[in-house]
Amino acid sequence: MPPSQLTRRSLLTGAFGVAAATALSGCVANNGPVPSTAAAGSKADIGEVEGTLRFAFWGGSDGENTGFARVKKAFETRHPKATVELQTLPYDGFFSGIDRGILSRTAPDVFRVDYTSIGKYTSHGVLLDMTPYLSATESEGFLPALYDAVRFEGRTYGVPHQTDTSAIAFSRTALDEAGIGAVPDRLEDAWTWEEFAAVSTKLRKTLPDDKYPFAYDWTAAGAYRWASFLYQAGGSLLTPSLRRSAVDGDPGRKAMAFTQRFFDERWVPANNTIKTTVYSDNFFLNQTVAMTFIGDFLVPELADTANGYQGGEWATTYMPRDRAAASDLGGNAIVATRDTANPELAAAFLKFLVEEDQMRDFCQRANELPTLRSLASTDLDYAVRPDVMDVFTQQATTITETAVRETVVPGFASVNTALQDQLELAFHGRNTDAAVRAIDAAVDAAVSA
Amino acid sequence: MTGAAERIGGATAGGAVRRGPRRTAGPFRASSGAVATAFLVPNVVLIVVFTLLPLVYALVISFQDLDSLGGTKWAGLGNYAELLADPVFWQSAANTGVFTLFTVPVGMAIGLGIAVLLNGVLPGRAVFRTIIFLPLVVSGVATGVLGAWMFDQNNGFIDKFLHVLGLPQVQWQSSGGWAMTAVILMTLWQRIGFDMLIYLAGLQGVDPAVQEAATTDGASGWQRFRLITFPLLGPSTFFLLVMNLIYSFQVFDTVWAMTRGGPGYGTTTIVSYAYRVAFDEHGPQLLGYGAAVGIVIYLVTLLITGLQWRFNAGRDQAD
Amino acid sequence: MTSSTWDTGAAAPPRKRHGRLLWLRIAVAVIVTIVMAFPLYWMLLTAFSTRGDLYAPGLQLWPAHFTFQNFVRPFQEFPVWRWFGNSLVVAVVVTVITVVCNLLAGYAFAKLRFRGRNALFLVLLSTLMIPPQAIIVPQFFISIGLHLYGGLWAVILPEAAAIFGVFLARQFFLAVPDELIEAAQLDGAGRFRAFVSVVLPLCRPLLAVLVLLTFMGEWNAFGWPLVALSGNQDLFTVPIGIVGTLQGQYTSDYGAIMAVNLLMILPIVALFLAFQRHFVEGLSRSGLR
Repeated sequence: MPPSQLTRRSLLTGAFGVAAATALSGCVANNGPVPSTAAAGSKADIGEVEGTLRFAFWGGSDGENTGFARVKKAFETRHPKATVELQTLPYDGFFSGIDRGILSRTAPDVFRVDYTSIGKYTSHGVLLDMTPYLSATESEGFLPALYDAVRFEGRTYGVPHQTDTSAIAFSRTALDEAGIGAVPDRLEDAWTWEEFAAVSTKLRKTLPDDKYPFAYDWTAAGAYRWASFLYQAGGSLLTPSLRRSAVDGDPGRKAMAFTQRFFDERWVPANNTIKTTVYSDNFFLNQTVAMTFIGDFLVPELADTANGYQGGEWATTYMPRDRAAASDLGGNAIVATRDTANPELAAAFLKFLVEEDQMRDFCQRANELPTLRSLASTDLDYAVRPDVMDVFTQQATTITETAVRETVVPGFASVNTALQDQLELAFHGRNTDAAVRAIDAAVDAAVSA
Repeated sequence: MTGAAERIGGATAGGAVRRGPRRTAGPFRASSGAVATAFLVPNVVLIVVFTLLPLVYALVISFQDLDSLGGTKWAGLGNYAELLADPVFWQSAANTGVFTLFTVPVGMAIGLGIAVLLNGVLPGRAVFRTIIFLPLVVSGVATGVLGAWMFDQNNGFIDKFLHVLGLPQVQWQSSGGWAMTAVILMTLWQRIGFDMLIYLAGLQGVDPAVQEAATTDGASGWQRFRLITFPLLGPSTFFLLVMNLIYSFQVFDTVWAMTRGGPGYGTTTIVSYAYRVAFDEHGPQLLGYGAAVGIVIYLVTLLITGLQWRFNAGRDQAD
Repeated sequence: MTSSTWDTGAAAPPRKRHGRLLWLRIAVAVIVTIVMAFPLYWMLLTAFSTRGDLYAPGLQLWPAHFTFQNFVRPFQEFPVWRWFGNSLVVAVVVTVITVVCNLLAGYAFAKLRFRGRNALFLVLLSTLMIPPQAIIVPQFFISIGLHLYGGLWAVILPEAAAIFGVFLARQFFLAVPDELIEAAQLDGAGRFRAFVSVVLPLCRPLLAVLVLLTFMGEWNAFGWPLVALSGNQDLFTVPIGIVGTLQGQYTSDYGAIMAVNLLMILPIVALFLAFQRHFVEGLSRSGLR
């Protein structure tokens, strides 16, 4: 064979081979956790740690940012040889960045993740197994439902850091003008669906055409908050086995009809749908709506003197109730990646975050709810509008165990995506029955995938 | 000027296009395998690693359920079955069809009209041509971003213009049909210069003597155009058809920058769908499924190109 | 090689009796040109208008209040300087790599003889038919496997794998008379020396087209950079920055978005106006990316 041909053939084969080898070496198969064999609590006594730790979270309110900055300082004081690098990233694209970081082994050591998304990470086995690092006392210190949120197949993969839930913020002036006098100030007096409808109708009459009674916080990743109405109607998203959808039923139809009414009767702005760029707090801030459903973490934003709500006095009241009172499980856990260079450092940092003093300080600054039993039963000294926070604290007691179990299933991220797609279509003119059946099918597919 | 289509055909005939007079063997004619390897290695390695290997790899991935965290599971033809049953896939195919239908012939017709208009003596012709051609170098993204602003249904230029004309407001963002119209209009704006360019070149090759003869025979302007000019533009038309088809089938930048495929899936084209399914933060992040959609796009592209070759072989040397 | 169709224009015989028709043609041409130029004008106008003017009702064809703020704000709030830097680095490096590779390979196919030349050329040509989206998923994993992900090289290398320039280069080199190269070789130069000293100096027109088109294609590249750079705002190129960050952050501040958009297209527009002929020639063969 002439040398030129030999060279060229081997050239091509060589190139192919090298390329194939490198490509396949980058091929990871993260199909599930390989839990550590160490017994629970066996490494709970960590002692002093050293090294650099990267902690990524999405930029939130000033309170949250200050809170994390203080945690960093306090941790570095206790562990002088350790450094914590805080990495604040935009929320949009945060998780795909984390995913790609995990694939390319450039992910941060520690990151914040909300309860609706944590299941994806635990079930793929990409998180550090925290079971050996948490003693029994520490594990039992958390509210049981929230502790369950960070567990998978019997092992723990992070720490629950805080909870959030939704309630209604309203403009005192707007409600007065509509002739709505007393607003429920006790959880047991919360508006029923009929009362809420009546309030909204009154507001619709008195408000000008380009303003609306309220906006709901189901935009983008908040789509799952639609399920609050489902729970209020006595239903649930999934069957008790958590394997099939339970949306198709009377409570589902009732909840769908009620929420579609928001658009039919012009109680919410036409673009207060799922796939929009305007969130419920924006609508309230630019005074397009008289009331809005928000999470507690948005209270500092509304209360800000310079850039907050400028429409006068505002306060909060409880979510509406039907057969039951219910609200959504919000909030975040903090987790470490399995491939972190220094597991002891990461574990020590996670444990530090959920020490009672640290959690109290953070939650008070950020206007968020704690996950420790000891703190949940006390009154926290919130930095901003403690009167308003009281409503949220009480509302959090209506987060049912079912809601928690459903929200933290491993496939919940897919369920949420399914809800996003289907609710958007439902609010663009689908009839109630078709919408419910479509959601049911989509949730079914998502949870069994 | 012979058609560019012939140039495409010509290139595939290997090195036999131009040949000088026969020469005796010498240092030039000798086979130069080693040197050739050196010359070729850089380009070939890049292509193999980043184009050919990925194609094979894409096929492999398309048979797996692969997600954004690297979880994999063998799926066989599952992704393809899912694709065929996926209403969103078919909607994106339909959207791509609609997009193609309204950009390709319309763009070519307008381009031809402008070329005819500018052909021949005309003061300031160079300026007109330059300006009409300019949008072509503006990127697809820039066009999409500009389009999102011009067609903003609350504050955009088009909205204000319609208001000035007393026409009702149009929901350019909220309505699927109108959003697609807006995308089509922006694409036409960007691409018409290309059609104009090719037709201008084609018109150079139309012998004015033939036209004169037809005029003396009593043919009207329109008849001259229809029966003489247009058929002689065959190669140009063919070239544009192929190029525009391929472009409209692969459009992504403008669509994504302008509407992200929304509202709902109203402007999602097949390529936007492939991207959304695999990489969009708000999408399902199914990389195996995305690879399958990509393979389907490849197969359809092969089909279009194959049909084009079949056609081309038949109509070679039209002029 | 086709002669430039741009400014020769074989003129039709002067129209004797169509004075009015000429004016009509001019009028239509002017109208068409204005319509085509208008969106660019609108972008210019928006970039220099205040937010109040932009979001006020009523149509204003001239900025009521002229401002430079739209150019200042994005640069202060986001690493836009960085984005331009990244775009420049990517475009330049890809252009250098691609043009060098294409020239070498094009020459090899045109002037060097080796077994399997035609077959290899066909194989490479067939890659033109592979749409980018078909290989974007595996390219993602390959760039991770090669440890490119997380830096600009993840964008540069896959983008530099281009074949179209080989096609153009080969066409060009085929027209170079064999005698010239033969003469150099008879003088003792090896093939590579012959290439460098005799052929390269001749290919300025080819270089111009290749460099311009590659640079423009890279400056405007969007699909693959969108995947390769996501999540790391400091690595963004300008198109990704506009779509990934600015469109989300400046939802009611299109003045700023248009300002950055304008800056993004300026270099290419300038290059185009300066080198029209080359652009036109190259684009008419490529079908345009």
